[in-house]
Amino acid sequence: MALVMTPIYTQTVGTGGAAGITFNNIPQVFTDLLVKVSARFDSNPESSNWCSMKVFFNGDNSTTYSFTALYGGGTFTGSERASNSTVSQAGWITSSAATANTFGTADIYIPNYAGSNFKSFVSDSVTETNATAALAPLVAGLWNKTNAITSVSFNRASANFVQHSTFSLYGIIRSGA
Amino acid sequence: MTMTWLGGSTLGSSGSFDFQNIPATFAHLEVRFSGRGTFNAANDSILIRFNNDSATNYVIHRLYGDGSSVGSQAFLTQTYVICGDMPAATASSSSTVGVSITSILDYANTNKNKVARVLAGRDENGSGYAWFNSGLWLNTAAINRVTVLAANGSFTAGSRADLYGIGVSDQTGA
Repeated sequence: MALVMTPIYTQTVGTGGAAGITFNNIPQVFTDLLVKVSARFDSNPESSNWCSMKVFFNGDNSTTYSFTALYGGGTFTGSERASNSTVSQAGWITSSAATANTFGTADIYIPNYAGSNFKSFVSDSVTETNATAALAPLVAGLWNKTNAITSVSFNRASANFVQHSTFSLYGIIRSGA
Repeated sequence: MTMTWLGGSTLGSSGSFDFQNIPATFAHLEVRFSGRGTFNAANDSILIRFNNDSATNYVIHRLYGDGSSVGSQAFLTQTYVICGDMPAATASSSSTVGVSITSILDYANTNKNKVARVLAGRDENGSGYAWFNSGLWLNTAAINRVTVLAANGSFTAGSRADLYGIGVSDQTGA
């Protein structure tokens, strides 16, 4: 039984940037969701070459999110966790301090998004730059609600996505299912 | 079909892989590799170059674990991106391979330097590495050629690489 990946939506940030990206009206006909991101922020709120990218679902900003992350930073490694938060962590992408024209990339995988269990997801992201310090994090995230996911939003306080940032949403289904 | 096979092969004799004339009609590329090296050592690195550029236009960052420790490294002014490693001629087993998946988003976007994101690893039942790497090609040109090669020597017969193009939707869902 083959897996089929179908493009659902794509958004590209235009001139002037964007405070956030939301995919609404996600069809409930797939098994899993995959989001591919190539993006950059216009500021440097974390005083580094990278900046965290937040994710939340169905417009819900209640304290129902958590995550665990593992990362390498070029010269250091680490792990962190947050619980009972208003958003989860989709990964990290490049900030305005990174090398010009360089965008971080990420894959965020959300299995069983239309099911009736809590929603777990994983992501891998990289924040390249022409310098020693660049973050490569792996994230396991959770939205502890049983609602089917009908929208996915990405943003970060005190930072906007720059022009040319792209977000691509895919639905994954078993062929013949 | 979103994910389209653009080419690839399984080597009948030692060699490397060179994907040329990549169309600019997709949004993203993915390179999938599994194989071994001919280098006279226990292991060797898997490298990727873009558009036949072998100048010092690459940057590498990597996070790795070797079964007992975790590390992170950075390398500037490189002539390639490292996409993991593989068993080579003196490896403990002759049947194991290194596996690597390299994702390059917006490969044809001329507003962006090109960034590779790599998941890779090899395990040899008592040794091996898990890699999470990234690579930066300091060039905004559209990628039209991807070369996969061994750091030393070449890949053995039976090694395999495939290139996929991934499309996107014209709907925004905004």
